[in-house]
Amino acid sequence: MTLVSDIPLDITMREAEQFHGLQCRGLLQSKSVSHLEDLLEELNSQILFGPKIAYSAVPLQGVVNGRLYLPGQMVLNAPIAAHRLRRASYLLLGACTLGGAVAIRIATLFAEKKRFKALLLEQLANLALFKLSARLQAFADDEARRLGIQASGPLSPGDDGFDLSAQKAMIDLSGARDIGISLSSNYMMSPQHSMTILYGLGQKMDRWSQAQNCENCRSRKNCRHRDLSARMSGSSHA
Amino acid sequence: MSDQKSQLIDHIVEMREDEALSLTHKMLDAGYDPLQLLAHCRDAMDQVGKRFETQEYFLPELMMAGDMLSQISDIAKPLINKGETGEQASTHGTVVIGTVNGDLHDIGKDIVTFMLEINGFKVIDLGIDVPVSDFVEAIQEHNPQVVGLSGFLTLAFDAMKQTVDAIEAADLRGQLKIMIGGGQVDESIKVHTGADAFGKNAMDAVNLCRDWVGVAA
Ligand code: B12
Repeated sequence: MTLVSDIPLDITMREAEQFHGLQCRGLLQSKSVSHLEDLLEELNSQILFGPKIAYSAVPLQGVVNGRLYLPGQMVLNAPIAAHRLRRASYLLLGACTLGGAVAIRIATLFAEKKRFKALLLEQLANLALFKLSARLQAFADDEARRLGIQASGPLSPGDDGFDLSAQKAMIDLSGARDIGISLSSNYMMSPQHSMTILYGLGQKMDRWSQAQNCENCRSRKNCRHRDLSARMSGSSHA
Repeated sequence: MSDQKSQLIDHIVEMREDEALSLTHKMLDAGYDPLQLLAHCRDAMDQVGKRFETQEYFLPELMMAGDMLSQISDIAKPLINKGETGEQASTHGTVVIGTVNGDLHDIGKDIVTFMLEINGFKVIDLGIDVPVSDFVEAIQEHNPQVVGLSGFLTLAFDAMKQTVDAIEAADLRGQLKIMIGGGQVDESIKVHTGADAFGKNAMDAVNLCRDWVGVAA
């Protein structure tokens, strides 16, 4: 189990401007840019984000009927992963979080009736989380290199074909609890700004980016985020 | 037009939040009639609305102006004599909204809440991962004309259906309309959940509520 907490996560104005979540019809028109600049300053002072990553690589014991069997009798019900990761000899289960402070700040802004600023901050938090999740891909690549194999692209529980109930195994095995993530009985992670991602490690693994995952997503036509993942290859959720 | 009045309207229309708030304090401290001040804010909002219609402004400006208006109202309303505020009359109706049980995605819901509020609806926002029973209790307590259910996970669609069923089982369905929305929500999900309508965006939500309570756009 590897825990990483010293993660610089600066967001530049340029990244913010390019983030699809912020590009929706005029969100970055001149009048709102000053709010964005204030928020970026606040964010980059690291008061609001406590980025942390936890991951663990475990042997893949078998793949049967859309299920992936892991040590400790853990099973992931995930036909999409069973298909795409079928050549894997290990699975890397990862979790990342920004911590809870940012959600509290967003709620405070709402309560103060600064709801526009709150929504800008929410989108910046998502951008930060997507950036953080891209770091997990880099850790998966390092781990695979160490084992002399390759890492696949990212998959997440809750994606089409990957049952959300797999969150239990993801949280238990990745070490997520040690970076402050907890799971509710209906598989919601707390803090809210948290994500889990699965990679296969093996010989000749297929590689894909989140942008390619998005091609198959049923939310695609409404998604404001997909452009981001096209730019940040390896980002694991959009 | 008095100098201060035109300045206040100008600050709001040009999105100068700090200046608008400090001028509000200055005017009220000097004894300016709070009701009149709020009327100026509405004039300013009309101008923002016109710029929105001509596409000089977009949703963010509408939201920023709405924020300024709410903050100014919070400052001015306590200074208005009781009975004069017309608060009840200025509310078109009540909407209870929440992200359904088993989902935590709240950005869409928050935008809908915001747009409903600045369009004159009182919104009771129950937050995220809202249990079915909380919706029922909130309906009993607040007697809303409309209930809004938001969800982005596929799993949320069943939670929406359960929520609609529970509202019906509690014999509350007849007195209200139910709208749903979120990423993949469409006509087929509306049918699956038994909701009255679905909305693709926040303006749809506002228009549905206006239709249902009989407010002209
Ligand atoms: C942002 C986001 C997140 C953020 C959530 C932040 C937040 N505060 O909500 C973060 C990064 C934290 C997140 C996490 C997760 N997410 Co997510 N997320 C998204 C994303 C990219 C955008 C959703 C969004 O907020 N859109 C912004 C709004 C403004 O968009 P909009 O649809 O235009 O909104 C309008 C309408 O929907 C409508 N509307 C909304 N509600 C209502 C209500 C009514 C009544 C009406 C009338 C209208 C209405 O009006 C809105 C305003 O105009 C979607 C992808 C997508 N394309 O939807 C995935 C997505 C929803 N997430 C998904 C998943 C699986 C997860 C995770 C479970 C992944 C994981 N394993 O870690 C986690 C769970 C985290 C946890 N804590 O448990 C999946 C769900 C798949 C599914 N079909 O079930 C999606 C579809 C991504 C994907 N393709 O896999 N996520």
